[in-house]
Amino acid sequence: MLQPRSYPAFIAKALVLENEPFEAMVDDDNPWMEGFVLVATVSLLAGVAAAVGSFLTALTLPAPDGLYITILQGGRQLAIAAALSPAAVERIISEVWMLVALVTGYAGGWSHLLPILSIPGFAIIWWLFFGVLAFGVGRAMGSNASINATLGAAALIVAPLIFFIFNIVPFAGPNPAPIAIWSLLIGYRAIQVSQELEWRQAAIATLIVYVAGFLAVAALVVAFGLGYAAGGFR
Amino acid sequence: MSSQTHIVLPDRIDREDWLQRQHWLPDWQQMWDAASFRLRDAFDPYERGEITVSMRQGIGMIFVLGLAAGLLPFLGNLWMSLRAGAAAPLVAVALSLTEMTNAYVGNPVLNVASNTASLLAGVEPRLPGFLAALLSSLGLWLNTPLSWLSNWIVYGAFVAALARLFGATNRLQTFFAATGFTAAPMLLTGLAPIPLLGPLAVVVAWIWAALFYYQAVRYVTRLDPVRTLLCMALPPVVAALTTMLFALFVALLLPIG
Repeated sequence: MLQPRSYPAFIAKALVLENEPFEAMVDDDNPWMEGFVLVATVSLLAGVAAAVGSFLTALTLPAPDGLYITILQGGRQLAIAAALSPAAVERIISEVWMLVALVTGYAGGWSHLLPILSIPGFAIIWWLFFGVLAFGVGRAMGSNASINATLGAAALIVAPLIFFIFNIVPFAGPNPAPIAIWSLLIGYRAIQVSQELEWRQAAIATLIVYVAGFLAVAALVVAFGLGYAAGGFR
Repeated sequence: MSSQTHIVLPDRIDREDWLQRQHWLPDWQQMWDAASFRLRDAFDPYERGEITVSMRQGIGMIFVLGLAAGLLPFLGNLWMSLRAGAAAPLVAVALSLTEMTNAYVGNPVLNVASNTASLLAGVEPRLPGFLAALLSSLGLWLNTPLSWLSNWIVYGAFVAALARLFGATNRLQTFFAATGFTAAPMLLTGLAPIPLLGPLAVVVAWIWAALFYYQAVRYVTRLDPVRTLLCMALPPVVAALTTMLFALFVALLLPIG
């Protein structure tokens, strides 16, 4: 049974690595669905906060055109002062500007709304990746837990995303790296409780999942870099 | 009735216990005890023979003390950005580059960077200047407790993992609950904007915090001094070595590209 009213307590307790929310998710009558709703709710909240924050941040800054022209002029002068090619510096600035403006929403238009899609999208993919892989590794280590229960407990790895609510204030917000580490600690507890593994096995299983995730992201980044270098996305 | 009791009254079963203030913040006396290295009084104020302070209290304490430490820098940022009528980060970058240019007179690159930053800070924001200044200063203020929380979790995760490998048997929650009190001496870093006294206060805060962290890790993990020091020193050493190796790798790659 879906119990969204319990989510704030689940998140607060998962953040401090208490057993209770993990056990509640495992014992739920439909853990994966409960997990999906929890992941979607928390990440959507984070996405909306980030979108509103990016809109407000853009408003606290000068208009993008004026800022871009000033940075370009500064870049040209910098190139002359540092004996670099002004054309090359200009090209680097324009490429970085395009990417940063799109990702941060500074370019305006619909780009502000990007986090509403991207954060829940990444959160759901990461939850599924983590849950399925943790289940597989846990099974290999002798656990008898079901994939349903593992996905339910693993949903709590999104709890640290709640700090993204601070993104609503311009220039505020947590660094994603510590959020990932906090999520790792919660993932460790999720595996320990749902798979009933002893601490060493749970730690190894968590690390295996994170290493696999890191390799997958690295492969995607390399593929994007190669595609970009070959002339794609331009 | 004390909220510290283990007895649950029937009419309290549905009460959201986790929402109560005392579950998110230890007493001021406990923080003072921690800062004074009276660890037993700080971690076990009810003398139960175990660490009764919680990780949740650690989060609340770090957030509140982080906000308190960020108050003076917030007022400074607000004052500067209100005067410039621009967003605080733009003004801060322009000011620090101007200071650097004054310190290294004749550096053309710094000169250009400083001029560009000053020009950027001078362009009018889309919001009214005072609102841009207020919102951006508020954002920078909130980043103080958020970065404290980040440091606590990231550094703590590596130290706790090493402690486990060295034979500690404590729970993760207990470890984080105890080390959360490091925020108490770090409160001194809030004096950083004060000329002369500020840098001294920051140095004292870091030394005080490192000494407290050492004591707290020893108290929780029961490891000997050498292992405790190794747990604390290895993460930054490995991080520095990794960064150096990465920089070397990039430097070697660049000429090829």
